[in-house]
Amino acid sequence: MTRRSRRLFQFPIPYERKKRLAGFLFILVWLIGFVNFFAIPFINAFIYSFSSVQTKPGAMEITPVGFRNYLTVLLNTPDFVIRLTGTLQEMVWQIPMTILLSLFLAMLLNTRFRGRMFARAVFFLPVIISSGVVMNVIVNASVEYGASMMNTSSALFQGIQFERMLLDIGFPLEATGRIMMIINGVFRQVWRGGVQILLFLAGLQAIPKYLYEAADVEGATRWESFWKITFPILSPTTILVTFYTIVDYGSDVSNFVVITIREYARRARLDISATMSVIWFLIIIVIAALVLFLTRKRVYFMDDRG
Amino acid sequence: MRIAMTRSRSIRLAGATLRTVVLFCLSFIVLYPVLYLLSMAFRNPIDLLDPSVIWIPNVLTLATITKVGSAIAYGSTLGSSLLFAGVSSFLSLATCSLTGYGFARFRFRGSRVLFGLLLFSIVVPAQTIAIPLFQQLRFFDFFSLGRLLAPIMGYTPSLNLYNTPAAVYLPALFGAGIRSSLYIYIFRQFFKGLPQDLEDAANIDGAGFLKTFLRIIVPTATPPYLVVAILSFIWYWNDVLWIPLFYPKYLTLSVAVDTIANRIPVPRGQTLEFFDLFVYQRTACLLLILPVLLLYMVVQRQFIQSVDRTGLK
Repeated sequence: MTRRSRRLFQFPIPYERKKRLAGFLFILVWLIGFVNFFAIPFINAFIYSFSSVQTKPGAMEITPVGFRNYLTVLLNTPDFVIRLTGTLQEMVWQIPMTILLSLFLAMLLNTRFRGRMFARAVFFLPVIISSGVVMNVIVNASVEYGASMMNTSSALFQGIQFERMLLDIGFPLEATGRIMMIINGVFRQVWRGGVQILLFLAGLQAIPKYLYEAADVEGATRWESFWKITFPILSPTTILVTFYTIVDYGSDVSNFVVITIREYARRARLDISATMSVIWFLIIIVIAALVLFLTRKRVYFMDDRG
Repeated sequence: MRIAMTRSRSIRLAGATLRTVVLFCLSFIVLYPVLYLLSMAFRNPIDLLDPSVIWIPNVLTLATITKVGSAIAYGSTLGSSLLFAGVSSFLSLATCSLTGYGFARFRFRGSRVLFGLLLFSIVVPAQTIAIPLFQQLRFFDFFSLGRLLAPIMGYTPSLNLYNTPAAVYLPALFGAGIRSSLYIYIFRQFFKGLPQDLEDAANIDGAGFLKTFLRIIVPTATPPYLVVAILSFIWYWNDVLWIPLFYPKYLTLSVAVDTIANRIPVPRGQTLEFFDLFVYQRTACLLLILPVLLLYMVVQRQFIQSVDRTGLK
């Protein structure tokens, strides 16, 4: 590519045209990959979902069957529908919680205090640990085997001791349940929020300091300057974080829907697996579109760089 | 005046205390699993059934670690993982930065549409395209060239890339690796934020666009390179979707840890006890995150400063 582009530029081509051509060459490698490793597979996923796919050694037989796969998945695969609704219910409250908590943490980490570097380093750990395997083993394995088989040491992760302590000091059962739900929720959200905290931190750093100084001079409280300065300027970051969180939940290997999709693929039911993943994709894209639609008018861009 | 001052000071003090408490609690949440994995790794599995053991095992032992280490062939899988994650992230970095620069600085017909498609591809879950992508690699038609040749040759020439290194490195090279679209976006945002004067100057001096990119832009763009390098290394390191699907012959550490239940040797006639597996799984997790943890500790300071400078938004 290098040699070719250089030779082209030696001709007396007008600068503007040259520049356009150069831009195209810069993205050409990606474009080839995008078409072959994203666009074609993406279209094929839809085709598979409307076909019966039989794998034979060396080839694949694809015969169109209309909506049959969708009917099978939605009507005759009860575990999928149950897992789908369960996962969606979880996502509805977990995604906003992840976003709020990571915003809160990013703001804390953005203030000046001793040991700030150390604290920031600690909060990046989840990115390393929570992507996939470890989360799957630690969280889901305990669910699968059931809490009855655990004794105190293995149940450390669930905070059962703390629950017992609350009950012992006379907390009502119901309130204890609530508190534990919140604690476990915070646990998972902090675990989920590594990248989000990073994105928010970067966004916060980009806000010019003089805005806060001006607000301070005008007598604005911290609370006011958060809503009038931080929140609006951070809104593009918030959108990015929201998208990231949705996608992250959507493709997480410890997610039950994803587990089901992988199971069917492993059992060579490729058409069913493709149908499930298309359904899952449609749900994700609808959620993302909804977020975009609802926030469209509220996003503020400080400059044209978008 | 004095009263006002003391009041604001006490508020500040209260704020600092609250911050310390909150950060301390949340740090505990974050560090907890690491400590917990450590506690699991140095104990005998039987300790799990002993109610007197919570954090500190009865006997500190390396037996669990050695057993798990040999079950997942730690030496060789570690090497495979390093190679896979290293090469893939390097390829991703090269292509994604080039593409990000192309989108940041150049306007050409269709560039906005293509960028829109790029953003769209961030939202598509990997599982949706996994199986068709498998087909694409199983019957690799040389980037659709095979299809063009089909009428001439009478059949579609294709190559079986399944279970070859190309199946995982080719997508990475062509900017379609794990979360590549996100990296392109990160690069584009950074390049957009750079002042254009330097590039104009270089162009006037007669440097071509590629030369400008390599000589002027790349040296100033350490922050996004570092951020993307770390993130992609971690995600390739932890991958359990692409490797088993496209290149199952190649056993990486993450895959070995994911399938640890089938890898622990069990004597004939016995079954693996629940508590054994429980401790082994956690020990394997520790072995998996340890190298990345060490890597992160080395580059931590630069990484965090880079995140500040990347200006992602």
